[in-house]
Amino acid sequence: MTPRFIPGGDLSGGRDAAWPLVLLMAFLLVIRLVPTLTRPPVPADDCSHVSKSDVAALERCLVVRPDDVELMVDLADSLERAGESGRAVSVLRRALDVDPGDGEILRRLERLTVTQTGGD
Amino acid sequence: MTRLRLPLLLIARVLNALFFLTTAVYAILTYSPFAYEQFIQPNMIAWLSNFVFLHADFFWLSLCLTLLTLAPHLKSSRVRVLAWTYLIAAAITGVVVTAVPVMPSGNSPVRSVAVALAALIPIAWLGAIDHLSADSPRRRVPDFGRGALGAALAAALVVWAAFAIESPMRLRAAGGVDATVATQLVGAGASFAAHLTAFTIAFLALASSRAARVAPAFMVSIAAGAVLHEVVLAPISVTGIVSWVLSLAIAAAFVTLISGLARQLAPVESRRGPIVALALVPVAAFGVVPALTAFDWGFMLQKLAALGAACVAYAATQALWRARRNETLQGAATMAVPLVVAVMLVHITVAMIVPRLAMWFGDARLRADFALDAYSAADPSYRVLRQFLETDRAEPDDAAFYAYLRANSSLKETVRPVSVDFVRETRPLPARPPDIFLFIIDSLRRDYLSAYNSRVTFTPRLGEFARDSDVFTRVFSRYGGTGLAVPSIWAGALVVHKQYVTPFAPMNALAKLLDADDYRRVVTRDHITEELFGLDDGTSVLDYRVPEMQHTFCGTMSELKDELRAHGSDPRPIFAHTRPLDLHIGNTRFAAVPPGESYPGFFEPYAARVHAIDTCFGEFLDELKRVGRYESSIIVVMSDHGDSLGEGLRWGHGYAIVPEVLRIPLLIRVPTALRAQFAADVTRLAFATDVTPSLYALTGRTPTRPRAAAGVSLYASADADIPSRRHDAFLVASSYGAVYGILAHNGRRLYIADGIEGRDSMYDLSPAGADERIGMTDAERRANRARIREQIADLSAWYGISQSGRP
Repeated sequence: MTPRFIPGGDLSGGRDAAWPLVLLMAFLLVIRLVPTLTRPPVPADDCSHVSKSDVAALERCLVVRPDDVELMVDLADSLERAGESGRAVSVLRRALDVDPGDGEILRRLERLTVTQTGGD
Repeated sequence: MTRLRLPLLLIARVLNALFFLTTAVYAILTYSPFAYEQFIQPNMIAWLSNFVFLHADFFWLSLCLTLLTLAPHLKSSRVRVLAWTYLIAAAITGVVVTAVPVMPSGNSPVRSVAVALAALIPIAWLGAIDHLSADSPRRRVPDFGRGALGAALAAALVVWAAFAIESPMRLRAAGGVDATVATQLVGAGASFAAHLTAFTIAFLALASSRAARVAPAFMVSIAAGAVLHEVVLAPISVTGIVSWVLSLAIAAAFVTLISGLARQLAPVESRRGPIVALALVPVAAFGVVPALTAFDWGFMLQKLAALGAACVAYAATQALWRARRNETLQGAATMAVPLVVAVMLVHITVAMIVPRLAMWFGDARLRADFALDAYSAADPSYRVLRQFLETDRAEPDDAAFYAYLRANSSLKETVRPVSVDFVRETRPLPARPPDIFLFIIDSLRRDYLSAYNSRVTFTPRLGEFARDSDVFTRVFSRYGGTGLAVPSIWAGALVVHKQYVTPFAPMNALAKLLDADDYRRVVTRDHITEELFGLDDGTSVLDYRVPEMQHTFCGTMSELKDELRAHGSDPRPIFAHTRPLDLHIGNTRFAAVPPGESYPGFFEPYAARVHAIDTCFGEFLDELKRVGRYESSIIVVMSDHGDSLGEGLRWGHGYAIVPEVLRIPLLIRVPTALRAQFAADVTRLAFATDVTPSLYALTGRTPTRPRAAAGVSLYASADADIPSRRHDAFLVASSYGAVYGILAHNGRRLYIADGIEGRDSMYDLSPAGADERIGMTDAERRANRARIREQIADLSAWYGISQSGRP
């Protein structure tokens, strides 16, 4: 008998059935679709790059990320421009609580405090 | 025909396969430019270099062993022709490899691939011989009758349980993983569903082979090839069609070998064999995987061990639970279909529940990506299944984005160098410039220095130095890994993702400065300085005869002190530069702590070496003071990248970019006479690429940034404003793979996109070092990806690399 090389098995001996193939296709479809279809909603804001002038968005993102120093600095900037220096100082103080080593915040706070107190 | 005893055949085949596999692996490593530069060139894997040296000897040894196994077939056997042909071809090859070194070196990709593929032929050839010469009748394997799916699910449970039971112990031992009991339960639950799903799919795929008229072995080869492509070759930057060809060839060769051996072993089949094999699964989970952790490459070896255990479990349970031979697939369907549907329901339920847990319980740590990332760090079996099964793509362009990252990483095409110039004309200074000592201590973490961490008590001399220096507190490397980090420091700019663009001289802004001021260079010789920095005749070379992995700070300082003494009368300023490897994970993972020393709370072998560096650094400063050079010197102590020391069960740096790998220390001592002229904001975000422009500034130039990808001086005139970096976004990348990130918000926000595993993450980096994983919105993800694309495109445009044809 001439040897026939079929690594792993001989296909000639069994009766075929299509059910494994059908189930395989169905299962792969489930894996592909289900997580996408059942994904929970996520907030829409880009909290990493909020426009500095969008006070509402900055405040919304600060609710999600209360320790985000950059959001606080940007919010303080906006508040300062809007003439709300008191709130701006308070926001910067919160930022400094989170990141006491940030020299830039410290300088801004000093400048704002000096402005508030009339440059004394 | 005289049959060899089976154990002897097994041993001979395994040793032969090991020899040829090692040959193929070496060839593949030389194909990947980064792997060649970082593993082969510095002899990081010493035994592999020795293997190449003795390659011809090993070849003959392997052939002798194979000859013993083929001898019974040479006279009269149905495989006589195959056996003779093999021996003749092997003998001719042996003569060739003895006479001519055939093993490839770097920069010969065609040869590398050819050698790798050629090395796989003998493995497959002998597999075919074993298959055809087996006395046992060809079985209809595998059998998919009643009970076969049950056996597959039993295997899933065994593998899941072994790794799930082991993972809490590993998580407890790991640092930097916020894994509560709840997150572990979430992980274990997701892992349970993933195992059931994967084993069911494996079963269905194999069972489908009959309907599809495809040999099961063919399907196994395709699956194994896909695994090798994703798990092994992608992490070493072998991608595209070459990766597929190599992966499928390796898989086909080994499936043929194992298939042949299985037929040879068929007569000795017993129930004891599969039971022993099943017992190997916990051995893999509790013994092999933990042992691999400390020197793994991005979890690659742990994943392979887990996959091996899964394959063994699958085969063993099939053997134990084999159905009656005369059953047909139709008969089996009545039992299998409800089981498959049940597994599907488990999968759907878990997919729906897990992403909502954080919302339901109000606990951010239960977020699916946090909990599953943390858990999968300790469960490689789940980690690898997740890589293939998790299709929860957040963005429609996920696949295209990751393909874009891969297409722009580890470039193999020729790239022309660009000129990096921080000043229009580098004129010599009227006064003698200061000496410059640039010490880049490979893998040094800032939290092992007292200047950054008050708990450190073992670096008194570096602490003393820090008090006399500027200690920059938010410094990052632009590249995780030496390969591109060091050239980028010299260039003072991002470099294109290729190892390497040569000649490097036009990009070497640091060398241009040294040339202009006629510095006397004293530089450690390693594979990167030799290839890129240029060690010409005028350079005093340090560590000349020391193997690169044995470059120690103390050894180099001893040579440098000798240099200072020997050339004290030379009027030229000195530029001394070294990159000691004391702290490289290859040297610390199994290092002993000297007797009498103890570093509680730290990775002790690493801390002990930092302590030794500290002592030698102090002695070097003493010598500088003694020879009167200290006051007038610029001394820079930094690292090229950090290192993982067990955080999230990660070790070393590999291709990952994670906070502890990107953060680096940077201490710069400005000569006393210059201090009044300059100001620096040490709390501003800084990069290793800022060091060279800073040296330009400190030597009296006014560097201007030649391109957005270039660094800026950390020093400005004392009366000038230091511009903020708070609103800029900076590209960071792995040196060795398609992993990129964006660092923003003055170094507080890190977005990472892993193009190898196909997932992304975001961190809030506290300057104090407490890094917190945070979630991100789709808008943030899109914005960060756009920034990565923009900056890669800008870098490509600078180097004149066409983006056409890339995804």
